[in-house]
Amino acid sequence: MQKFLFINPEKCSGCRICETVCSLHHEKVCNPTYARIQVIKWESSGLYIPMVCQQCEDPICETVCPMGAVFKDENTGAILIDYDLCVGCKLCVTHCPFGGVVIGKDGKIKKCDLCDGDPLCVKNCEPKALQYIEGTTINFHKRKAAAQRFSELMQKLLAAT
Amino acid sequence: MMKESIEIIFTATFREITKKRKIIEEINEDCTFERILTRLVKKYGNDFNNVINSQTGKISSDILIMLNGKGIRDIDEKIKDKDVLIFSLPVGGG
Amino acid sequence: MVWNRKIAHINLTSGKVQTKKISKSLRKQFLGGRGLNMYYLYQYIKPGIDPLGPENALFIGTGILTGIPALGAGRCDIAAKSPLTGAVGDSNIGGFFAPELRFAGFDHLMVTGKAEKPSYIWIHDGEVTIQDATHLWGKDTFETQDQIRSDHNDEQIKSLVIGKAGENLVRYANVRTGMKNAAGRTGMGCVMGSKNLKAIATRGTLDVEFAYPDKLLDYCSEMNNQITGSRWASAQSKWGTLIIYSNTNTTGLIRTRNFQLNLLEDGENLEPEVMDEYTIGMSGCYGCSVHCRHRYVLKDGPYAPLFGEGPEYTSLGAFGTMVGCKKMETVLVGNHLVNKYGIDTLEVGGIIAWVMELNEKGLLSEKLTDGLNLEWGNEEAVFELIKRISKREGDLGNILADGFLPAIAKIGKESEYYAMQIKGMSNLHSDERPTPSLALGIATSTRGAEHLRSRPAIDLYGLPEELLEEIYGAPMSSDYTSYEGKSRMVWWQELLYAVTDSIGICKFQTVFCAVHAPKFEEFSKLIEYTSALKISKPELMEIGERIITTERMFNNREGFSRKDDKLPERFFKEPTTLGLPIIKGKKIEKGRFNTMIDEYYSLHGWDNNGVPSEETLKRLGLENKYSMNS
Repeated sequence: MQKFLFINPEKCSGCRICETVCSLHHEKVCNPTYARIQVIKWESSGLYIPMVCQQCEDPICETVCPMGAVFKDENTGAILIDYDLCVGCKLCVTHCPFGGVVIGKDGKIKKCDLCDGDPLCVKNCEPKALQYIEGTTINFHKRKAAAQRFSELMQKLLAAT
Repeated sequence: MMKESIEIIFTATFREITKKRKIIEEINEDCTFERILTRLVKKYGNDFNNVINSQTGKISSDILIMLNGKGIRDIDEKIKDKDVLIFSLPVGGG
Repeated sequence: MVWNRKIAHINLTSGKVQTKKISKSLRKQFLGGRGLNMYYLYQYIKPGIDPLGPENALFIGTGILTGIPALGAGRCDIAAKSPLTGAVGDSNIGGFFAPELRFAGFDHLMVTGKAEKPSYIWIHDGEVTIQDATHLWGKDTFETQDQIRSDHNDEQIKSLVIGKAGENLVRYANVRTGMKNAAGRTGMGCVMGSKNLKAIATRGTLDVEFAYPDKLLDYCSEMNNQITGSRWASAQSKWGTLIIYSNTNTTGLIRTRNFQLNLLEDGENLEPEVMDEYTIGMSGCYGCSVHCRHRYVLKDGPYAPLFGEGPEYTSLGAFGTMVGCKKMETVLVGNHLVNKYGIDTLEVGGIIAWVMELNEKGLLSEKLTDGLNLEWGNEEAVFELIKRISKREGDLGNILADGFLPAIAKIGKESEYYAMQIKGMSNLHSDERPTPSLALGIATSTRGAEHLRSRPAIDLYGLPEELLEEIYGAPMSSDYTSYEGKSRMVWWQELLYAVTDSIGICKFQTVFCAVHAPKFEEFSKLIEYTSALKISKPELMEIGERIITTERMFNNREGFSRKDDKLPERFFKEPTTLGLPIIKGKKIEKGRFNTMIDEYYSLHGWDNNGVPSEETLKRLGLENKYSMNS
């Protein structure tokens, strides 16, 4: 079953470990500027939202690529770039609605490759704001969380009557 | 005759598990920490078993059990009337 | 490499900025952060200067590990001569400023002189400029950070700022970043204010290169997993430092009503679980997987709506137990106010608790109370005093803004007995009478009464003596009420924290909270992976000694000695009245306490007066270094 990188901003604590491990792994340096993932923060209201390539089912980067350089890795589900074909026109950067494609230090385009199926950001995310799990599991988790809230409400109602 | 009893205070994770801040337990003569623990496992479940490090047979060093304010490590520690037992975690040191 | 990070000398009087390399040999002796700051402090600050004069210098330093994805490696050390104590001024701050400074190309800053008008320092990818801050003067710490971001049209700027308290030269004004992070102690914000320096803002996009990035990454992952798998970290992740209250207010290791009682009766509303009602989630500093502070919302009441971060256990004491308030909401509002005004939560809470006791004892004239009802538990008086002190409003606010020692001089000699301060700085709301090791720590700390300099918190856990011997390297009692071997505990922790503050990681992720948390061995590996420097455990401990001895030398030069390594008299005279059997009725015994100090000095290689011996200076390579200004 296909796994997905699933983001739950409610759990993000804003520590930016994801950014750092990403840049260390891919660029071999510590520099969040070139990380594929970034935590967007509204500090004064306490909102933290990690943003990264959504590995779309129907990727806009693929659609706009004039060279056909964007392809999907069937094993991991990651949308990847074939650098032999890529001419660096950056149309993908322009059109991605999530900012999922970034321009690297060398001027080449870079994007999340899900670390070949073992994303390091996920491994190091203690609050589990980032998870790499099967689609059906995501649904189950969401349903269970909703059911939990529902059951708490029910208990309160029962106690009140 | 009044039954002998002790006060058990739960903090942190133990408070979450038991949903109680404090309980009073009656005890018999020759009571030990181990006996109390067995009772708590029965009442509140297996989480209390994890208090013991299975390799050493002692209270795990990442758990803080205080008997009348003193940290204890041995499970055969004697418990007597009016003792206060705290189940807690070693955190900070304010 | 991490080696190419520089130091910028910024002279606010002349407006000149010089960028210099930091020599590798200095790094090997002092690492970075607090260590290097202490070296610079001793080197550049002439003895006897006015801490608020242009001749005081402010040092900012990241650590050698700053930026790694583990152990909360986002900490920054700020130092100067303290305007509160006249001794070493030094405070450590988390958040996101330190890594950003490193991404901008710098590890250290030295700020000297005084700007003619309100200014701020702007550091961007290797460039340092001094900018006008007239429009920022008067703004609170939140507004100031927002305004700088908006001025530069860059939301990712990180700033160290001061608020009203710093502008008004409150002697314990702090330096702030983010919603809550503060370099709280010793008045570093006051030094910034005295220099007309409203902020230091930075933004960087430069690489920080590490020696062995793959090994570093693997090891950081391993550590993150190990830490987050531990019980102490999961407790901190859920309740933050507030969890300490559950222990201390059960046993009797907490001070309430200044220093009159050691338990807060009916204090249930301050239990950490109460935060469930206000929290929307936790928040972490850079590189921290523990995330120990709450993001909270206050929806009702006269101060609502407000969003804040924290509160720490310290604020729970400052606006809760010490002043006799029993509501979490009081703590949340107090926490918000100190963050807004930029004033040290601990110091302000300590000093308010003191005047409340003076008021109770009839030692405060009615005129001095300035119309305030200073009865225990009056939250309005607490809030009002935070404001008045920060703004230096009214006689009382103005007197208290100068800190304990000047306030004692003005209020009267009798008030001194009730001031729970050491070297002019307030103690935490912990009660150290039953715990000799903790008492020794606060008495000998180089920056005044302080729990983050050498506190052996694990002494409270009753750990097996074999384990204690393994850690501390000598036999000692596992009974926390004992004096046996405790000087060594304090000495060891002091070295550990000095190194921790110099590599730029968070103390909570070392042997502060838990016995199995990282210590020297793990630091050695991390230093090697980041910098290729091989520094063994004994060498790291020696670096710790060098740092502490340098701090001692600075204090000695300013006239401090054994006479200042003391406890408030109440520790010896008044036994604890409450608590569990092992804690109730305890006080510190003077004779045994003095023996502990002797032992502690001898472990450091200092003489009986607390002055480093020639032999020690030679051993630590400090004998010739410091001839410049002394």
